[in-house]
Amino acid sequence: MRAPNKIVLSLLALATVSEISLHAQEIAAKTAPTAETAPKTTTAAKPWKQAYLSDGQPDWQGFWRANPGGDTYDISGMAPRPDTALQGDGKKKTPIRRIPEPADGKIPYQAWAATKADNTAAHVDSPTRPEYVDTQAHCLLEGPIRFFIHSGFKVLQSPGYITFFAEENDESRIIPIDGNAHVGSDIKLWQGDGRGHWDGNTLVVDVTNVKAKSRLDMKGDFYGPDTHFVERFTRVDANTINYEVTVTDPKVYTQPWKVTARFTPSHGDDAHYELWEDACHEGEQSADRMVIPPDVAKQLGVAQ
Amino acid sequence: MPSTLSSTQHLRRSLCLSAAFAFAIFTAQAGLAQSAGTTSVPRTAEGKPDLSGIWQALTTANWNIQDHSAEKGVPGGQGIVEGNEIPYQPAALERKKTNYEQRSALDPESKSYVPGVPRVTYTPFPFQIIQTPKETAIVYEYVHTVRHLLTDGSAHPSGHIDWWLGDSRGHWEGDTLVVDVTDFNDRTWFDHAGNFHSDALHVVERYTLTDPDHIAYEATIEDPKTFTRPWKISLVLYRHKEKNFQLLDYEGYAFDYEKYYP
Repeated sequence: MRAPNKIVLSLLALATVSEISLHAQEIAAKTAPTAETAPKTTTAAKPWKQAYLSDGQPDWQGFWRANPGGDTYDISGMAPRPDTALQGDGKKKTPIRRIPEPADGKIPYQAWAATKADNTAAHVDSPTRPEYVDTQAHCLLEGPIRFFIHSGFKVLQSPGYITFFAEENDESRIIPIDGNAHVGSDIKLWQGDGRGHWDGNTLVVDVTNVKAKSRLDMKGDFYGPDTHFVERFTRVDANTINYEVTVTDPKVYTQPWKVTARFTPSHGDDAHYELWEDACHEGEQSADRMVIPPDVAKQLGVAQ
Repeated sequence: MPSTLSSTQHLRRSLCLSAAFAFAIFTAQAGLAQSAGTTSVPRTAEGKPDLSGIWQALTTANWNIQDHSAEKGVPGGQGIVEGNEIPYQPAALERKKTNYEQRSALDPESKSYVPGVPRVTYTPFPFQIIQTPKETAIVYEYVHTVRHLLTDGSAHPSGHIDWWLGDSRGHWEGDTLVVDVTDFNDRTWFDHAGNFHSDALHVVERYTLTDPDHIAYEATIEDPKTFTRPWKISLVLYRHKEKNFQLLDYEGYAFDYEKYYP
């Protein structure tokens, strides 16, 4: 028998590997904690190739979402919200482990910060004080990390900028890729000052100057005005961006810690999908009424 | 080379040449001036004027879009309304007067609501235009307002939708970005002086780069429930040239909550 053609063999191998990874994705999707269907992908005839824009940026434009995502009751992923602990089929949700460092998967708070976070968490579902009401209830801007995990987002790129538009609350983060220094330290911003650069297929965004008035999640996890976030977005294939953020603040935490998430394309089945207005604050009617007055709290036996 | 022309012919020829030369210079300058909007402005790879950058209006229109003298805390200003007249229907004019009298309480800006269109263009805050082939996005510093001006040939969605900022679909007419905006609610004002509209509002914006650092902004306003005819506003948008200038934030409705967090 003649020796098989090497090119044919390589293509076959590539096709096989791609088929395997596609199959693995499908398996993963079926057992994923949220009942999100795997994004439709083309069959593995062509390997995916990163396209580039005129200023050299990898082209990531389009709609993406954290997958699994949406639920930001607890950024560590270990404690699903009590009322959403079950999937649609009545089965318990598998916790999502979002914090790879430290090893126990929890935010490494200093003692004073752990006390504060635990206290908020104990009251967040029956808030008796304004500080127990989640920032998102007031339509306050989400800040780093939560911005990407809570809702889907759209990526728009133009020379020197990559801009993220959240599907909720009309939030946006304009990230300049210009090598300029951060704004002065007296300026504190809700979304922080995020400055980006490309490292091959990885976008690195350095975030400082955070106002730190938004919370990391609904149960009250928090950071401080000196917290430094380094977000790394890595495009691994047509349908995956891996997100890893390192959080450092010696005034709040005992060590740096990390959060990871995976982004997959969103709304791919709707070629005409558009990002429409979400005027959160203008529609907000009830967040102030979430605070339970003391006499009612007493009646209900709710801890104050 | 010695000329074979007579001295008179020489003089005539010199005059003609001078005239021709002067005419050429004049035309060239006029041509430059006429084509200042077409040749000297930055352009995208697709050849369109590039509106990208950070801009701000310098007018006092956010207080009052018509001519106004100074009041305490409010600078005087020449209005942006062409002809200085807003053609209210009689009942609407009465409502404008009531609005003006109660403006401190009634202006939606006092609740830090998004200002609507076109007021969002002339608040005293900067905004950033991000221009791409299928969409020109505008991010306004004021309460993180965002508009997506779609230039992908798509139509407005069907049915009336009550949006604060309307639905924006843009196309180029020569070097002018023309943006058709419909689907408004009736909750915003044009200024702090109580000028208002209904949900039948229809705005057509025109953005023209007159030179690299100025945009001539015009908007035609039409609302058959409020006005007797369409009317126009026009103002200049100035490019921010300061070194390292960038948008910050102004979360008007968040200030009162800051003390509770993190």
